[in-house]
Amino acid sequence: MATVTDTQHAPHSHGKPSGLSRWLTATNHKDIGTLYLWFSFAMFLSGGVMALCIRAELFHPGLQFFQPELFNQFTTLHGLIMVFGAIMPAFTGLANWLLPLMIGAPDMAFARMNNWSFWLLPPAALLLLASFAVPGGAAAAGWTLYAPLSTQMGMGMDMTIFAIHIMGISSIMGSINIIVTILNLRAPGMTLMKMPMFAWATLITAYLIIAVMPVLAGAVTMVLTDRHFGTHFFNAAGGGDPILYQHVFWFFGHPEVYIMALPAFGIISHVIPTFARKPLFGYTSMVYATSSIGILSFMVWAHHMFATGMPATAQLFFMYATMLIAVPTGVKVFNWIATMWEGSMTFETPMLFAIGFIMLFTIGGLSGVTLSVAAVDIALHASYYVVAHFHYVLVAGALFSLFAAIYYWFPKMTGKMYNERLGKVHFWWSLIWFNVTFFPMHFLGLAGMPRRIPDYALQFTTFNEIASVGAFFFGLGQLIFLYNMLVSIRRGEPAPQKPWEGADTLEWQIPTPAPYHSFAEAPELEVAENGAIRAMKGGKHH
Amino acid sequence: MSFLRFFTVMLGMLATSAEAAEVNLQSPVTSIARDIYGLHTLLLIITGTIALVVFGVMFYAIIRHRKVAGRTAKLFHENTTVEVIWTVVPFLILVGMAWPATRTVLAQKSTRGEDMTIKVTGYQWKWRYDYLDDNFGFVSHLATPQSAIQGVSAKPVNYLLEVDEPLVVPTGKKVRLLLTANDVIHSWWMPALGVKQDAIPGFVRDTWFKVDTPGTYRGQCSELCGKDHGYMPIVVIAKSPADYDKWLADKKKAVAAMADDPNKIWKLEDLKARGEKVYQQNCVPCHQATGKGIPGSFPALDGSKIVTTDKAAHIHIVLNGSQKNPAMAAWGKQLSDTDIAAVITYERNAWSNHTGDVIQPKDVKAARGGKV
Amino acid sequence: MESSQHSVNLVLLKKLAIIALVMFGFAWALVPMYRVICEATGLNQIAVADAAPMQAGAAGAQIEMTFDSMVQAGLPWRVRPLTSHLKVKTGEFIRVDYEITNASDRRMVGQAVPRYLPAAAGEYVKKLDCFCFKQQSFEPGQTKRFPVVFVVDPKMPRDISTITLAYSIFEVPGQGGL
Repeated sequence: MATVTDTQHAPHSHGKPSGLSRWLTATNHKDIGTLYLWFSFAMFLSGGVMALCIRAELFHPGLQFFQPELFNQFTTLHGLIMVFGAIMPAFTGLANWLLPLMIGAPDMAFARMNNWSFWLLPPAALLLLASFAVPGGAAAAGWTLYAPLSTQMGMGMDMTIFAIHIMGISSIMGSINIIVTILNLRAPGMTLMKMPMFAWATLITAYLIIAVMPVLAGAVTMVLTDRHFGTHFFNAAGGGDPILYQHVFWFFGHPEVYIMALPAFGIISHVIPTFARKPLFGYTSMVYATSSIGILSFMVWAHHMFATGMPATAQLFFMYATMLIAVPTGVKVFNWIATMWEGSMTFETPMLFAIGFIMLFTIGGLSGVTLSVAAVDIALHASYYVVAHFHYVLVAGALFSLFAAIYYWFPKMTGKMYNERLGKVHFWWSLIWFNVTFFPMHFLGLAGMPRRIPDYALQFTTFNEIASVGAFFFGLGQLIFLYNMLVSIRRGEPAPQKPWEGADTLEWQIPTPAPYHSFAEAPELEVAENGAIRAMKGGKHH
Repeated sequence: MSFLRFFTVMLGMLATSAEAAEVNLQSPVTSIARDIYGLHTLLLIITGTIALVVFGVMFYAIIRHRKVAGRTAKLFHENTTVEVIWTVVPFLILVGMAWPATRTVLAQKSTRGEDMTIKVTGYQWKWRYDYLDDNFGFVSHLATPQSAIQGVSAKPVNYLLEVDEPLVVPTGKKVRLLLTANDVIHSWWMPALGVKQDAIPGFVRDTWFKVDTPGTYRGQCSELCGKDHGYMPIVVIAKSPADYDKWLADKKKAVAAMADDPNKIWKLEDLKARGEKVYQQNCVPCHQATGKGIPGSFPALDGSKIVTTDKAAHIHIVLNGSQKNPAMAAWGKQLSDTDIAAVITYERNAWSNHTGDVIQPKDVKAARGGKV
Repeated sequence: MESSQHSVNLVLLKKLAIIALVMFGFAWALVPMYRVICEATGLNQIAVADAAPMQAGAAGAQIEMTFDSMVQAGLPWRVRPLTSHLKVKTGEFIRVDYEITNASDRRMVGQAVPRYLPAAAGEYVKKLDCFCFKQQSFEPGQTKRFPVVFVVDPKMPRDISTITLAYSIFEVPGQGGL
């Protein structure tokens, strides 16, 4: 029988602890999941404010609000905070909340380690934000922290490096917990090739994190020793090579892109079938596609470095390998559309966000195919085209899937329904303003505007104005979401056990809101593909 | 349907603005840039078609297969034939794309058979060009005045894309660039020429172009290189071979004339006037036009102890850079004795510094020899 | 039951933690690996004297050579080749002179590292004499001339027809003293 290893919930196993200590010493996966989600939303807002500062400065040519060094700090910290503070913790939070419910486990495998992995994050975030206040300001070398620029910076860079170390340790511990929970704590009947796609996606993501976060830690440690301890890893004067940093960084950096995309694929693979009232099309091929994307992601890193002057053979190898990733990614998109085909669809907010995800992620994927062609990448590398491309993948990809997930599981988490009307307004608002913000950036990049500049030539003015207006409205729209959440948690309609007609995974078989100690005894399950529950016996909650 | 109306308004806005702003790659003027342009158009057509087909099927399903239309779901969830097709067909499309792409990559990488070689060195935040075949070189700075950037004066047409000394090349000749950098990684990007190549400190890379039509082409540094990354433009002027030869002859004469007599004794006003120019080209980004610097990052010169008292220390730090703050470069390598003497004289007599000191080129020369 | 599950979980935890540690080590292992790959492909050459190739003297294919130099940021040295272009034949003994000036006011020691374009040409340029074989010491303001003597190996693939040799000059810290 699956049991949790190191929880302390024995003394008060029938109620929740109350007050601040409930959160500080939280070991319950739902509490920790909630903490992760609120933390990542706070980080999303602070990273968003930096984005708005960037867009405000770029509204017109010339310097209006910020000097270039502060502008560079905003672009750097916006990237770092969104990647390590917002998107990754949000997915970890969802995994914490949902994995035990979806696979019939009583909790995450290592509940106390779970607490540590969350509570490492706020100090790291504070370190990043506080670095604005130190002499020389925050790190300003871009989120990629390329050497030797990153060896030039002030102590803000050291704080950033320590923050990355802490967040890295946190995400590695979180990932270990996810892997052990999925591999060891599944309820009887929940076999690997039947378990929900979300579990598959987080499992592969967790392996990716364990494989590459240490590599990033190594890269930034080398920057640190180059800065303070006289090493010359990236300094040609001591026999080092600045390009080495880029190789090590992107060995981490490209799998990182999929760390932020695979969990989104998992979420969409539940939302689409639920609202199409059909099983997921091609579950097995989805599992293989996800795994092969994970493996291929280790073989394409140098496509970020086509402009460094690699030999032609290396350029061609990385170009072909990158193009190849389009195949499994395409398979996933086709599978989702086949799931919708001949379905009986309704369009509640989660479904709207899922469809928005498919559309915009596909656009981002297709501009990615354009960029993968090394010859064309020479024209587009480090331009606003790249900025447009990865925001289509990360905002429309990761963020929209997160919104879909929150709306979808909100009733199970809180026991209340969110306001459907506001949810739909939030979707349409985000969809429109997202495109107004980021679509013109394709044009800017094609016309020759480099990224990471605080000021630009006059011919780029119109599209920058449009993008800035879009960004402010997009940012404003996220307050609709916050309002909807806060009001619905308190005064939302009570939610039924299964608010979505087509939902068939395990978490919809238990009461709403999910009991504090769900599946204290493991249930016996009869499961179909993608975690659909055919029959359940036992499985007591406290 | 107020959203729809709103969206049409936004689309209208986009359409009108598209007349003013460019929406595609810049008009190519080299064979490589034309290849890139053609490849991009091909990719746009292929990816656009894929998007239309995929979204077409999706929206058909969204419109027809909805519950309110009374549909009941058909519960199929597998079809091996379909799955094989949509794995193999994209793969074949990719192979089709890879073929022309490979040809262009190989052409981009082929730097053989050059007619001339120019060495490009990236500095924070300017470019240096050395004509290796003709033994001369110059530094190319941003020519847009600070006042236009700060919004005090009107912005010129080529705002931020204008330099004092453009790179001049002949048309119809294969120009090979050798690129390196002095401090951090820079990247030499010239969209109309289809060239982008990182310049890496301590290493050398090469690339090439052959411009077809005479004209002025503008680009920028495209690798984040610190504070003034956005302020290091590139201007290439392509001249017909005859015009180029004339320019080259004039330039060589000018370079010879520019060589100052190192033993000339200068007057304060002349040296200060020249020093002001040197200061604007090299020192303003950090120490600011006001001489106040940027507190916390770059020290003030106005009222500074070194600038107002210790002459030897002043010459030393300008020549050799700062031991404490790597941002202060060793200008001895980049500037002539006369320019260094001029800028030091300017700093000692500008703003509230009224030392009346005149530093002569020979003082700098002596300091270089270690005999201050 | 509980304790057996506990130990199974702990075993997996340890395995995963080891993977993470190994990957951290892998990041550091990339440094020597990168060096080995670069040397194997001729991207970064170590400067040691080569033996003249056996066929030296037998004139072969025509090669165009460009000579250049780069000086480390902040190092007040001037380095220039006296010849920037040369048409040579494989198998010929070639001599090119470099002039180096220490324009600073202190004694300094420098090290030159040769870089080649295309990188693959590096292993075929056989250097018999070069100032890059050892550290070079300069008095303040001193200028020195150095000969570079080399042979381009006739075994070099025919598709390489131009070679650029650029020296990257660095200060060896702690060797000078004011």
